[in-house]
Amino acid sequence: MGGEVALWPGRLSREPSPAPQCTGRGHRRVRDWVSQSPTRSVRLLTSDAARPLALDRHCNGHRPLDSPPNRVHPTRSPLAAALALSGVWAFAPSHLFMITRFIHTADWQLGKPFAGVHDPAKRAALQQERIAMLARIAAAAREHQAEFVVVAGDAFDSPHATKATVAAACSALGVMHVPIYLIPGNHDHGGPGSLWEQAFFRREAAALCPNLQVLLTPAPLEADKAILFPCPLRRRHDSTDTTQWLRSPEVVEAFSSSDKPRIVIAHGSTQSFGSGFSDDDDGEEAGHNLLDLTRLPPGAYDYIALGDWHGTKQIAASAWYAGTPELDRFPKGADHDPGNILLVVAERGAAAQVRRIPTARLGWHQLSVSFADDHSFAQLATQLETRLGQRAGEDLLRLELDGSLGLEATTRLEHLLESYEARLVRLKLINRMVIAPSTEELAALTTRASDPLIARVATKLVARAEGESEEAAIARTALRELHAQIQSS
Amino acid sequence: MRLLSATLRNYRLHRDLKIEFDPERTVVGGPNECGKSTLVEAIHRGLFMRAKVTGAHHAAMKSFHGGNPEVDLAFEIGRQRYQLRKRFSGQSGTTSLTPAGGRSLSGEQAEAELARLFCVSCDASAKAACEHWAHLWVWQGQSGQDPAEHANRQRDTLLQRLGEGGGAAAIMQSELDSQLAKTFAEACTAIFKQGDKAKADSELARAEAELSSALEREQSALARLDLLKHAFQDHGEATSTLITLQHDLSKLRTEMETAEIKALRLADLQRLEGSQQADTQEAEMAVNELQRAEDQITALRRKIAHATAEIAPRETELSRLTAAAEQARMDAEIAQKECDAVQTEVVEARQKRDLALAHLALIGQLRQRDELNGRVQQLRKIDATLTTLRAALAKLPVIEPADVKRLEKMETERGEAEATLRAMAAGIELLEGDQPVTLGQERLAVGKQQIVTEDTELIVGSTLRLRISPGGGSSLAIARRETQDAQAKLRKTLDALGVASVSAAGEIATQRKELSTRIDWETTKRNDLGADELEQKLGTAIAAVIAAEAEVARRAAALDLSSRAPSDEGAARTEHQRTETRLAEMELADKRARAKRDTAAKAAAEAAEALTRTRTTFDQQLRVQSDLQAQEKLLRENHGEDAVRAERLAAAIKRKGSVAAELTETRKAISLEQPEHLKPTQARLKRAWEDAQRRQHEAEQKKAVAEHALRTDGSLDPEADLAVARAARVAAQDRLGNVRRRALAIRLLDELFRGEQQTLADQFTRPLIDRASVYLRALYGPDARLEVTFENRAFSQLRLIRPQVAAGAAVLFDHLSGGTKEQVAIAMRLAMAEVLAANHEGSLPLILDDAFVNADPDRVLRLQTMLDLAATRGLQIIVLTCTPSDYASLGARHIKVPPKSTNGRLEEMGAS
Repeated sequence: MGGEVALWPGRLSREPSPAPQCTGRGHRRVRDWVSQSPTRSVRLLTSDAARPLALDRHCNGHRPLDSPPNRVHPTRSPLAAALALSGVWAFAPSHLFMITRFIHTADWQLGKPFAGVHDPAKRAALQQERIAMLARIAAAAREHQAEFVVVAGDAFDSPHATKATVAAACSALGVMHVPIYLIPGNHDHGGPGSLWEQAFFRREAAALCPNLQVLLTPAPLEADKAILFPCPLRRRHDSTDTTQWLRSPEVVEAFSSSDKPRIVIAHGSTQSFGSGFSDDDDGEEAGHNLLDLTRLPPGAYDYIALGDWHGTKQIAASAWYAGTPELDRFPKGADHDPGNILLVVAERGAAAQVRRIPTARLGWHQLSVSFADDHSFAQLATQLETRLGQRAGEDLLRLELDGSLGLEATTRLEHLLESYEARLVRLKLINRMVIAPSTEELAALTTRASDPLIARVATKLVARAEGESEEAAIARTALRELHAQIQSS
Repeated sequence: MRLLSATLRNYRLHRDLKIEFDPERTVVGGPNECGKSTLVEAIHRGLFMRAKVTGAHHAAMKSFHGGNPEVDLAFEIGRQRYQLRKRFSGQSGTTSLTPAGGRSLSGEQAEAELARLFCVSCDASAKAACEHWAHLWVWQGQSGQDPAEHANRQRDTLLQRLGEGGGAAAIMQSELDSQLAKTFAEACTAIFKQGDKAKADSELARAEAELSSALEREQSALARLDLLKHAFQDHGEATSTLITLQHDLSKLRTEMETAEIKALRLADLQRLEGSQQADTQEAEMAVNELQRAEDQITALRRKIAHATAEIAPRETELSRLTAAAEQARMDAEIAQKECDAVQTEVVEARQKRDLALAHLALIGQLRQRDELNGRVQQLRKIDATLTTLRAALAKLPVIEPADVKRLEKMETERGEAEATLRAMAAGIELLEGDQPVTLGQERLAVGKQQIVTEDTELIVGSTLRLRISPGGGSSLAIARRETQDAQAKLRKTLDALGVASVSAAGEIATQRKELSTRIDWETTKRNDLGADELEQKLGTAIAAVIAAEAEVARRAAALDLSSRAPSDEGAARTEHQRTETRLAEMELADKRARAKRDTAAKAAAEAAEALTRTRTTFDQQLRVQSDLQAQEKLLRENHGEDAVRAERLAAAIKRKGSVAAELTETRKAISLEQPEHLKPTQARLKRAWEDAQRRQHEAEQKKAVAEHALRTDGSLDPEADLAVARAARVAAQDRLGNVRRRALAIRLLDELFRGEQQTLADQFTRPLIDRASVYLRALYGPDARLEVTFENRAFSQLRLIRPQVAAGAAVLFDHLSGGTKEQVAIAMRLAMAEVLAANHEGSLPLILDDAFVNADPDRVLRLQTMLDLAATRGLQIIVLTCTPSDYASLGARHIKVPPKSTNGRLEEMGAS
């Protein structure tokens, strides 16, 4: 089902129906409301206000002559679907329709130290990029006319984010201009001593982003366009399921008369993925912060906005991990799809429509090379060239090296890596490569008739360089040193 | 090369000296200053000093014998013999070298040929020439020099020979080899101090410091985060504790309230119980009160009835007793009258009897007066007798019976004295005789016993004269004297008493006694008559008579009747008896009358008392009855009449019953509340409440502390800080790993280069060392060996290794003792000579000039073994010594240099 959003236009475009079929519950409501007073009417506006879609007294939509071919949801609640479509905007009394568009995002990890990056400037750039990403989310919210933004945890990388990070974040959030509903995740949990309690954060939030509402308690919140069910984390590792309270009949019954979509906001691993689904890179999460969404009463909640897994992922009909909008680590596996936010259109009692919007800027690349001979070095150079071009400061690379290279090639490799180390924001090198002098190099060292001492030393080193031991590694290094000295003499 | 002979002329002290050497072993002996060292020097100069040498070297050779010094030497190299002659005459010095069977060379040619033959420089200065073949010339006092110096001096030749000998001539390090070895050695020195420690300014040290500081920073970040984690945990615990406590406290509050309500309810019930109990008591008291009144009335009525019943018989008795009392009183009066009559008669009888008694007394008094008169007469007679007797006594001398006794005692004493005398004396009695017998002066008569108390002559007739000597001795005289004394004493006493004899005295005494006895008897009789009181008694008796007479008169008058006085005592006594009897009769009658009167009086009194008593009782009963009746009336007045009272009592009993039932009900309700559990429950709840409050307070404090610890100011993100610190530490570790690996690689290179260099060096030194070791084994045993370092083309650090010394450790040459130094040095010299001998057709001479001054005799012996071995291995051994006997076992040719040798040949001592 996850692909449905992307499919809409195509399917809709194939739909020949001239007008929306108003048969759903939303439709009845609209019709009732309209019938109450002859003065009432309904108009459907596309995003292009110049091309309204009129409804007749029976609330059947009439396509304006100049409107594009209909974009009606083919299945259920055609009206709602019609309103939900990209570019279509319900301008009518919303409490009748109560179709809500919002941005679902999570795992901003603001203030992440990127400790693995040793260059302070690059580290700062990486951190800064995460603040910049908030502006992109704001732009997306504006562009897609989201009514609010839901942040499903881990907005900050730590419950003790620094003042600078807090101030920058608040400033960026203020720019969004729509309400932001945020729950603490495991990284920025809402326990005692967390930044949410800090006077500084409160001051900054009040001054810079009054649109931010941090949901620290598991209690339903009736917002303008939705009823929110936050499941905040109060500690880094919570052994209880924070969605447990949502199973209670009282909670299920709360606001039952309202037609606003019911949105759960939670952070953690879901049972369906098993403990292995934890998406924290410190590996401490196993067995904690587990969410069992299967135990939620069917139909009680219309959308479950999840955080924690950094890739965008749909895990149930209306349950999504938004993933991190800007990558903060090298993706794990090919199906890992980070770097997005989700545009969600939710309606009470209907399946939410979800569309992913890419937001990432930095390129996080991974490359694995096994050197078979010195020619494979050239192949690596080409690959890197292809991937990274001449860019600087925009990419990160996880480079895994294996196999073996000769002394000369190793030196060339080092020079190459030195370049990329400088150009890339980060070069994470996993180097299991072994320096193995080529036959020629060996011969040049060990069969030196004129320098018997060098030849003897080199021969001994070659004998020692065999194997995986540290002694062998030292011997290989010694060979390189000897080689380099001879070259420079 | 071997020296064959040497001839010295005009060389210092030697004028002309020729020595022929053994090709293998020669010992040149000679005392000190005989020129041995000069000989050694002369040979050296001859071989190596140019003949044209001038200056100090030339001057030193000159002899005080005059003439220029000349040295002739014969030697052979291989099979080629040479004759060398040098004449040191300054600039005009000459050299000639003649090979056997060859052309003779002279001058420079000869010098050049010599230099070639001996492999030395032809152009060497005189000073340098002195150093040629220094390893073969062991100068006196230099045997202990480090042989490595000699080896270094011969280095090139030696290396060439050693290289050929070791077969390693091709393996010589190149310039690049040396350069790299040096580079790595320097790099290693720059990195490492002694051992594994990195040098302070090395990259390795920096990397280590970096890691250490990164570790430190990580630790501190970790500690900071741990602190937060603990605070967080504490906070969570405190919070959950507080929640639990809140629940507990609310539960406790409910329980306490329940208990409080129960307590209030119980208090109400207890109050009710109290008032009901009071009511019950009150009702009971009312019932009791009424009942008591009722009882009292009943009792009173019963008592009244009883009293009334008792009063009736008492009345009858009272009248009876009144009559009886009257009768008794009258009886008593009669008895009294009778008694009074008898009494009068008794008085009269008593008066009569008293008169009779008075008569009788008067008669008695009269008789007593008469008796006393008789006794007075008797007394007067006794007085007359006494006067007579006393006059008779006074006429006799006064001899008392005591005097008589004394006299008799004296008489006895005299008699005893005479008896004693007689007993001692001899008695002579003339029984019959016809002749006169004269005893002493006295004539003896027949039958007359004579007592002889002293020696006395007895003359019988005229013819017979006897001397009689009585016994007793002197006692006889004493006895005779005592007899005379007693006689005298008796006489004197008798004279004093005025009597003639003892018997006369006795008679007088008896008379005196009889008179005295009569006097005493009369006196006693007089006393018995009461001589003194008699007159007084008589007076008294007369007065008594008068009084008795008065008594009689008075009594008779009192009787008021004329009485006749009894004539005598008998009559008086009869009268007395009669009156006495009459009195007794009358007194008896009186006694009877009195008893009768008393009985009657008593009966009357008893009757009166009985009456009184009965009357009192009766009166009391009457009073009691009336009291009871009054009480009964009062009660009735107070409590009402019978019907009213009965009604009241019934009502009170009914009320009592109902109140008691209420009380029972209340008590049951109280018991249902279990009041005994209430207090403990409340105490328990209070305790639990206080404890929960305390724990709540503690948890709040803990929470506050944790909150304080958790409050961060936002200046630092401890998680990020730790992540950065950790990454920095990992990077530092990686970097250190790389740096250390490189450093170790460099050190490995350095070690390998040095090792290889050493291996090369060993290849050079091995033949030399092996040879030297062979010699040393001769001295120190089979395991001794020598080591030498060959570095930078130089020999150094010669070391001796002996298993039995210094635990087998290598000992540097400089650290060896003087003797051992000499021995090791010789071994090295021999080894070098052996190596170098190849350049000189397999042989070289080794000249030792007093080389082993420091060796002990045992060592010298073994040195000979060593030298002998050298000779066996092709060397020519020439030993110069002042003690040639030390080398007796070398098996050498011995030559003796004569002291102050001036000329001629040395005498050969012959080879041993």
